[in-house]
Amino acid sequence: MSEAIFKLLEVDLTTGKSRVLDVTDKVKEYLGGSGLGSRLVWDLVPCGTNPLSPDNILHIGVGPITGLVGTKVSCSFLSPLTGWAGEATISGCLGDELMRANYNAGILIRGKASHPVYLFVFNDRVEIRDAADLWGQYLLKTENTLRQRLYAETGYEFHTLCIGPGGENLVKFANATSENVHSASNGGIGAVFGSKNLKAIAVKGTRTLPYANHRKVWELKKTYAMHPATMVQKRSEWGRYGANDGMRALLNYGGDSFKNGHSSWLPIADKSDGYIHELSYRVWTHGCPGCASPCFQPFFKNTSHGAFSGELRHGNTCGLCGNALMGFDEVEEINSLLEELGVDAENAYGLIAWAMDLYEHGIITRSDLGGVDLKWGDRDAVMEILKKIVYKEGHAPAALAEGWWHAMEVFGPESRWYAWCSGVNQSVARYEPRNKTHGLGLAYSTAHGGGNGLFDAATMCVFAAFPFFEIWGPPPEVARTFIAAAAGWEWSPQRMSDTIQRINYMSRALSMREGYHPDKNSFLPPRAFEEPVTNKYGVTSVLTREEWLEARKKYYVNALRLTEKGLLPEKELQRLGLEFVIPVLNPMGAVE
Amino acid sequence: MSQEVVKYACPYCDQELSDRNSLKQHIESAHPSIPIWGRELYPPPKGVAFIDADIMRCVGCGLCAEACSMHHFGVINKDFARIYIRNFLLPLPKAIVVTCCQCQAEERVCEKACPQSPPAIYFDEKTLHMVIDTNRCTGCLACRDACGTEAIRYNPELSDKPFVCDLCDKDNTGQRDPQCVKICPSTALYYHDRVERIRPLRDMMRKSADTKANLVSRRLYPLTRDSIAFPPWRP
Repeated sequence: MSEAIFKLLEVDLTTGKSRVLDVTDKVKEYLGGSGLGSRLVWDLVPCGTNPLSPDNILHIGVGPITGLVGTKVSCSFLSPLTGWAGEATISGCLGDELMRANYNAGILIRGKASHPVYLFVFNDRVEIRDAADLWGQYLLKTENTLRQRLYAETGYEFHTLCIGPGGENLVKFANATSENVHSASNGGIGAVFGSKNLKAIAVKGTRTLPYANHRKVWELKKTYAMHPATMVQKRSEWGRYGANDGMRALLNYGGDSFKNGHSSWLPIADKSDGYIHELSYRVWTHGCPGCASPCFQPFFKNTSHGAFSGELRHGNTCGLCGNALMGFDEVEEINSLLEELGVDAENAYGLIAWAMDLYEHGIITRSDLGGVDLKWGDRDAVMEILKKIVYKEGHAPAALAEGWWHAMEVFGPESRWYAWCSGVNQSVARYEPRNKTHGLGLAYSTAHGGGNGLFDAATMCVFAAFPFFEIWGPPPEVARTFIAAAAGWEWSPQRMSDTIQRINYMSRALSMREGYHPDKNSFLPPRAFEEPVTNKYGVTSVLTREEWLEARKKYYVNALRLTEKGLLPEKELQRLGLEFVIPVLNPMGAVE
Repeated sequence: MSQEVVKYACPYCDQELSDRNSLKQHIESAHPSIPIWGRELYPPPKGVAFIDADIMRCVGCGLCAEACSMHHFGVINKDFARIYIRNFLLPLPKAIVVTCCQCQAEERVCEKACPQSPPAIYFDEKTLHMVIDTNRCTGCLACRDACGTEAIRYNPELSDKPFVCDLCDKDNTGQRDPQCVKICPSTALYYHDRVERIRPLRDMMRKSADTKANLVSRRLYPLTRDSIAFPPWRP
């Protein structure tokens, strides 16, 4: 049987040159997406590089099965937020277009353009074009202008990945968005775009998909699209609420943070019922290419204070409502502004809630905030402060734009107690880390910001994947089945499991090389151990250090396959062919 | 936050009005021939076999196009398909699915536009779908340019002749079996192949995808584009 060949498009913005590389060997070891991306960053970016310098790279990664188990793109780079491995995943049509342009290992962007540009990729045609008129525009206008212009020029609909003012102004948690609503949020990918003077990437492909066996792939796709398990997911709450169908349960058992982590349930959780919002504002359902259980629910509402459109209470942003004491209504409206400015919602809400807390306790003043009276739950004040953060105006907003660590330095030691962030400069406002029902406190504290595991590397969509589990078994089995059809590689279960382990180790090794260490960074904020919270039914939860350290040890060994201290086991590294990282990481005490 | 002036726009003539009531009055007085909003009537196809595409149910997964190319050419390539998805930002993303509805003889502008005599693109009365006779077709693309739905496809990488939906009856034997309808997971596509219509016809208008998208956006938000997006904070 024939095997797929994996092509990577390399573009150097400094010289304006591009070439296509064959990276099939690397894809066999690391799959695509963040797996291949971490390895590329390890190889091409020297240790200690400033993430905002031209030496940083940006890998827009797809993989062998992109478009089959959900269409995702997983971008890898050195994160401006932490300085370590950065990974940001995005859904939408972009992955599909990259595959149809036959760049099935993605695009690698290096260097820095001398003036604002956008990257134009149309099958073989790769051009770096001037974007002077787009620079400074809000996201919606950028994307609409670009798409309409390219449609008029070529007669094809391009799909784009753009940054807004957040990325241009190098806000450390800026994101890049596609189709105006999908966003690659983590790690400050927008700032990497901005530092390279890259406003957007526009991709269109019209070729036959680069699969080894089309007939086999089609059989799998047909099985998925017509399977009862898919229909169950599509016709259940999923089809109406999207990725947020478990929100009510999550709120009730106290799985969400409220008031900057001072509570895990407040009456505001019951104030806005999602069902009413779905009936009132949802306009239609939209999905990514190839997905039979689409989860994207656009909303539109016309209120006395303006018209708003965006995504209805999708996953993360909905969970962030209570953090600054706002209801769904306010959050939906603020999200339409976030979508225009291009910053990560999780960090934006977390930082603003923290600023509200500091303002209440008198640690920062009104003049620090540029004259904004930042009261809990005040929508208009949040919108004002958000714009100030993005344009770095005023003492406190400019500090917040640099992320948690920098802002803590600026606001002084007494602000530290209120900071609701993990050891990787990331807000923990989305899920309540003290809650033992979902146990996401462990994931928050052991993460390092880089890509993790099979889903990011194979660019599988965790939302779309549930019917796949029903049909083909656990995630490695799903990946193995689809890789056999799409790439023509018949892998044993052991090889699949080794590949996943190698991907995890690679991104963790990259973070460790750049300064991440579990002893320093794998922690939750101190409040998680000292301030108890109560859920709706009066169940109080707080972590004890001993119990939590024990759980973390188990999580390291069983889930992440690291040593008990969270370090990389030397023997495993040698077995997986990663011995080249050992001499680099030994001085940092990262290998055991 | 500053109060923004939200204006209502007439979907038919772009005139801006201050509120809903004056919009209603304006439509009743200025466009008396237009029926109830959202129920624009178009002549339903009188054919017996055709694909009905409901654009409001379409989620844009593109499985229909993949099924089409797989059936006709044995590969997955949405640009080889006779049915296709166009994605719009209205500013919310909306997918519009486009395919041929095998319209009745009075319309059928493709057939009339063909310079060949008899036309190389014609409706086969026996097999009940459009056929392009590749032996006589010169590839002038007059039919493609004439079709208001933009349902006729052309891809120079594949062939120098255009191609159109044949209801998956490749060999023109009358064995119609549309694969796109079979795979569609959101039931946006429906194959009418009998005289009784068991599902009401939805979006059978012979209009381009742009027009359809415009109508969708105007039905759902009777606002001008500028008042939907946030105005630039900094001029």
